[in-house]
Amino acid sequence: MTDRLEQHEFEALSAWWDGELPPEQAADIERRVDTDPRWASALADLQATDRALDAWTVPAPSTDLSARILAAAAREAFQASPQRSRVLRFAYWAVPAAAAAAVILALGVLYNPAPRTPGGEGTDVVQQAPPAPAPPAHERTAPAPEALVGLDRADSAVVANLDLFRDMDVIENLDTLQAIERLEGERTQGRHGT
Amino acid sequence: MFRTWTHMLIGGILAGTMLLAAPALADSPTDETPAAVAPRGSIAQQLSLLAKLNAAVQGVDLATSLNHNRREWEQLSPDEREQFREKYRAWAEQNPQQQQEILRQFEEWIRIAGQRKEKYRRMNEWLHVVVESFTPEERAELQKLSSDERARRIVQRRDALVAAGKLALDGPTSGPAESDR
Repeated sequence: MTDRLEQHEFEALSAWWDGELPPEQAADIERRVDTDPRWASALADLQATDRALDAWTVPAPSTDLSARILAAAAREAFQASPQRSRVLRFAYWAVPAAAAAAVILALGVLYNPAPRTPGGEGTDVVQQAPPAPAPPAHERTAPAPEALVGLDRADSAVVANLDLFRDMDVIENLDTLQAIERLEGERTQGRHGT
Repeated sequence: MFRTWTHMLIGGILAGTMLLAAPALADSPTDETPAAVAPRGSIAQQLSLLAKLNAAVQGVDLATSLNHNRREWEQLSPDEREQFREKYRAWAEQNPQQQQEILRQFEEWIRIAGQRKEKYRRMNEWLHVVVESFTPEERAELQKLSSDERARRIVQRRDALVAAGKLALDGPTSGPAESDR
């Protein structure tokens, strides 16, 4: 038996890592990772590379910014609306009530037992703020790749893909270079054919 | 007075409703569940897979490949390292579509044999000179063309530069065809 995952196995692992599998399949992969050294090793590799390449992730636009833009647009539309005065009257009642409800809701959340994480760790909701997407529990125990220790994010990304950066200029032109190669091949053939 | 009492009553009803709903909200699924893990950046994920593929093509595992890269990195001069960092920064500033396109070409590059890679590196040296000879407008135009048409125009320009003595080529495989000389 080889000590590496087959391609379909690695794809399944990768899909699980991305949280893309339905619960039954996810549980199956999790069991394999827990019990099969091949799977555990492949996951460690995947985590190591992901960690090194985190810097490459394109940041999503801030939800705060989106919310502010939408709110501003809504405000502009509302300023011109004939319903404005009616809404203001409603707000006279609703705003204090909503404020009171928000305080009570916050108290309710604070005193409610925290949900357990997949890794089995009960955590206080307050400690989760700001909310961050959590990877599978295994990531928390995976060691940092030795080869990348002591490097910052940029250097880690470079070292992890040294071949890409070394030949980036060529790689960026690869389509053109191959087209030139084809063109010259055709010319050579034509020359030999005549 | 009536308005004040009504005001408080409505507030109380709403607050009570929210209080009843609070436990349910607190028990609702959170971002902690595996299914709710935010999708990794597709670029990062693909790079991760390409790093593995690159190692596999070289017949080693990822750890061995990373160790080899680290040793190579340690041997670089500060200037050389800075050049790599510059390339990294340039990459990071590209939009996802451009990054995606480079990844596609990198995957192809990984699968190309070493000798052919060397040939492309040599070709790329004169390609830079030829492309520089175009005006910015012509370069923008070139970008819009199909790769075959772009190649045709580049080779045409290259041959003209060679004929004018402005470009010297170092090997027969990267030089213009005899019929065009």
